[in-house]
Amino acid sequence: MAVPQQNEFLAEARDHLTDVCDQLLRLERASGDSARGRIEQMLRAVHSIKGGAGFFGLRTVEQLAHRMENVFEAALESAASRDSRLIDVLLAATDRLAALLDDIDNSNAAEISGVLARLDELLTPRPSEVQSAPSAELVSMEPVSALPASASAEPSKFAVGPAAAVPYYQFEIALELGAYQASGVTPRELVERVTQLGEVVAGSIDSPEVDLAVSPPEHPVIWRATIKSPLDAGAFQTQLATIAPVPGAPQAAPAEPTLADAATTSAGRPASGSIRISVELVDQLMNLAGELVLVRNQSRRFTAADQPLPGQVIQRLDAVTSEFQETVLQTRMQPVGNLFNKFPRLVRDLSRQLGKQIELRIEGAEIELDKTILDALSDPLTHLVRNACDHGLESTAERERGGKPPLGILQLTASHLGDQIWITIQDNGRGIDRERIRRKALEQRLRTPDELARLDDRDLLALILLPGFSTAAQVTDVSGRGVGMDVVKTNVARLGGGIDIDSRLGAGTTFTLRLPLTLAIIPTLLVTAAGERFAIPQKDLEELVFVDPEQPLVRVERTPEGEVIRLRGRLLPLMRLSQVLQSGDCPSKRQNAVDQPALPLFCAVVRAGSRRYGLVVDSILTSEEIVVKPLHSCLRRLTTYSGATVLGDGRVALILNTEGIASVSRRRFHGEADANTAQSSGETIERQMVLLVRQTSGEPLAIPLALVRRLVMITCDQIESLSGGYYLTIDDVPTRLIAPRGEIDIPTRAQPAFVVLPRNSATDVGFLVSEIVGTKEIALDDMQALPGDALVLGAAVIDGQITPVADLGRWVRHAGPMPTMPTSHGAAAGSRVLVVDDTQFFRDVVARHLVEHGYHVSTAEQGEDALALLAREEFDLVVSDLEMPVMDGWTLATAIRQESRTRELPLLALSTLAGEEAVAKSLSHGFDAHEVKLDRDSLLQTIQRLIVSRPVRSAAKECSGA
Amino acid sequence: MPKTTPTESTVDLYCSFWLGDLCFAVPSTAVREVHAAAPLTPVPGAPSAVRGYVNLRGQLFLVLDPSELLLGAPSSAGQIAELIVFRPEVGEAFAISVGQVGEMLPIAQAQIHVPKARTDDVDLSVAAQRSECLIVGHATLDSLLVTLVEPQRLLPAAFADTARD
Repeated sequence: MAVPQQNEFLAEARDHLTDVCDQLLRLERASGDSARGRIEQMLRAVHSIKGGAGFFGLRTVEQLAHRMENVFEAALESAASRDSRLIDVLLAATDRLAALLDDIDNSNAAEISGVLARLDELLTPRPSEVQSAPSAELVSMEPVSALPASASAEPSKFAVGPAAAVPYYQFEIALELGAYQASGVTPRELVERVTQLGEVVAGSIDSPEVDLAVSPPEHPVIWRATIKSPLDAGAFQTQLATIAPVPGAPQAAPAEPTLADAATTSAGRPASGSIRISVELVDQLMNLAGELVLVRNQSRRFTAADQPLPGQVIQRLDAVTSEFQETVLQTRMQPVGNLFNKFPRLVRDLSRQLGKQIELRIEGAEIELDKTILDALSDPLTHLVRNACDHGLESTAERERGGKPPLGILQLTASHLGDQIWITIQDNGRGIDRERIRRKALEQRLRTPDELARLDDRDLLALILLPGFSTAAQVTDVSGRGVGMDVVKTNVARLGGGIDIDSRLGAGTTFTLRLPLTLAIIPTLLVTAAGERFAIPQKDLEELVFVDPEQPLVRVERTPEGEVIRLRGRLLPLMRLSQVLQSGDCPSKRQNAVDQPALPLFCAVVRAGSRRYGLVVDSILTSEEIVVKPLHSCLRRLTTYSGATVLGDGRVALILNTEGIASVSRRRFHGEADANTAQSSGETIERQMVLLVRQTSGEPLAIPLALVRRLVMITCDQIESLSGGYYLTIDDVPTRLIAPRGEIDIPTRAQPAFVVLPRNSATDVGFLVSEIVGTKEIALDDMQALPGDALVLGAAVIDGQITPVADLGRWVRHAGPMPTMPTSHGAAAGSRVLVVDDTQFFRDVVARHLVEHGYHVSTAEQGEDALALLAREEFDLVVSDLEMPVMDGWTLATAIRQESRTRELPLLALSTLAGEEAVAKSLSHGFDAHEVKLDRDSLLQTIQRLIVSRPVRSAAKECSGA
Repeated sequence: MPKTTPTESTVDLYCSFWLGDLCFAVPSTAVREVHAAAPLTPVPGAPSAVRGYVNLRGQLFLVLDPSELLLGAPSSAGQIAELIVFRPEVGEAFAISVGQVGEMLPIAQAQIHVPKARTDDVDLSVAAQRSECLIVGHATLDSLLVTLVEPQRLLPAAFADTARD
């Protein structure tokens, strides 16, 4: 194990190596005095490492540093030797040195002969480039669609032509054997490099007749070959040109990474203005600052209010303590350039590996961020950069074909926005193809076509963050397996941040990471459970709910999986914190039905990633900003906690991890459904569109839109008075105008008005209203009955005003002659109907309608209850809602059809869902008919039809043998 | 245990503590400080040998129950009077809670009886195995039998059951 002084040497050596790597990348573009200055800087850095290594007896490190020193000295002497080969070898040596430092205890036994040999090769004198011709020149290169006739390979072995999956190229390289003797690069090495690009399937060598034992030939040897390579033409040519340059053409130099001047070293500050300090010492300072705060708090308690002098001292202590704490916090902040510094090298290596031209630009490297966040961002940012290089940016050839400049730009930017820091990764590449996302989402069954159609652009792009999602045409070594983006999202979410994606096809993509400035201090809510205090991070907290049995909007209900809370029409799993912490999971209804604490109770609605649930606590204390202390390493297995803190009284409180609690509970969670649409069977949101109007009396009224056939705009001079009533001719049909309470108030003749024509009315009537306000979607759960008013379905609060919801059927009967329909339901009267609906309001309304028409009605709140009733009693018809918790109507219908006893039982679906698709789905699950809520007359007609047309049960039983 | 090569005449100082009427001791070189009992915050879900967290001058320490580890029976809250806080080299930020800290005992090597390694196939309970792992010897003083405990094994022993999960 390294001793403390050695640790200091190691930290300093790593800083030097980071600087060397940075300077090497800049050296590729530098020249003259600038290049010389950089080499001198690197020489000093390596010299320091060598000296320190020697002091600690690190012989291998010292040896390698010494050889690097020699190379730098040689490079100082000869500008001609500062080429890509030098950079490559020195970068490799830097990596090797870093690896030795990472395993310092075993460094003396490490094998470094390979890298030493490469460094020594750099020191071997070479002829100047001015005096000698290149040893290899690419004469020509072209894609081919067929093997040349002279090829010795058997054509039948290969697939050639435009349809070939892997292209073929034919090239010609002129080799100066004489030059090789001086350069030390052998033809064999050249051939090996070429074969790395693909498989050479045919080749020939043209050589002048000369005795090689005497001397190398004066003229070049021509190597002609056909190669099978997976690279596209542009990439292949670029790679080949790197091995055997085209004479006279400038080499494709790697793009110089650009760094802000402010962040030049990993220290990020001028050397003379900073000192190195360990993280442990900073944490100790933080602890002492916390203790100082406690002492200040205690001092306050012992200082009487009527003693001004001690009070002033305490005030000053207060101010100094706060400033001290803030200053100590600052020591944790580090420039984001410390993180960005590793990407120039990464982008350089990737651009060469992929055969692309990529320039990395960095802005905002001086922005400071908490060290913890910086450390956690390294992997996500690396993945995003690799992704951008591999998939975002096109190859040079593709960019040129698209009329784009050959150089791809990758921009990393850090900026402050309020109490957040934003980091953007932007490329000017091909952008994200939305159609490809849709195809992949369907292929991988991540979304249905309906769901995809409802997604906006932002949500569609966010699909790429799902686990396993990848639109990459092929997996490369760099990326494309679909396992990285979801990890990026998870890591960023763990830091309390988020990701936004913006993309334009053909223009590029931008990823924006939004992060908090620091994790050291977080706002929390303090709660109690089982006699202890816990802290819930505010970022996880959505709202606090007080569950009172007298408050119908929030209800606790039980399912076989456990408790759920019904909150504004949505269901959330409910967990009792004290039980989760003790047992590690959530007890089921049956296990703990007896000892559940009685209502009322406090519930914190929390979010854990994409999951939401209610967390029942004993009491809610206060909001407090706390200093986060990491958990003891032995306790990190307990995922229910994310850390600990010291409260004002000096006691420790644990910080809850809402994600960990969700995981250990083993509960199933509902998806992230839009609150305004009922999408999954777990959701019970029932909503109805209503038409908002103003009656002639000026009072507001809501009419279920499903009951409206047509709206007609009229002028009041069209209204005729006849036999005590008011009539209007609409489409040559005399239409009687009615109002809910009999009295119709005709507006003045100059005013326009509207007539609402109801659907499915047997008589020609219309409702006169003075104004159409608009349409609105209301939650049926929010509708309340109006006792004493039988002419309305209920009332709802719409735009802050209590608005009756019209029962059009009753209006028609109340206002005029009864419509032509059976006065009783004949053969259907006396039949037994089971009404299943999780909304009490609709159970009551439907039951009332049926009872009035002579039916015997039973009701059930849930599908399970309905099945239990059906097992015990006989019914002639079941009317069932569709969207219900636990067991929806479709599942109920399927279960009823599977029982021999109820296989022939008429089933009627009654739902707010309308349209062909909804009807088809009901019928496919076994329903005999589908009615929309709530057309009373149509409902009654259909019920009668179904009951009357049902096969005689005894005959059916004889046939089935039951 | 002391790092110097022990000889018959080597005398080391041990910090003793009492669990009921049994006397135990740990090398004094392993002890950072002895602290009066402080309010504990239990950690639900932690192994039974973990009593909870304590805050000592802004630093959090995990407090283990030596009675649970050595005797297989938890100590009651009323039995905790003092904390023995160990140095970082012994283990990360932890202490043990004892009823009473005893005297500093000079113990010579010659006074220590080290039990032989087991060669039988006796099926011991988990608690017994744990206890045997922690006890490295017994010292016979004039009127006192002191059981010597290896403090570096306390943390791993406390979490041994979780490691096997």
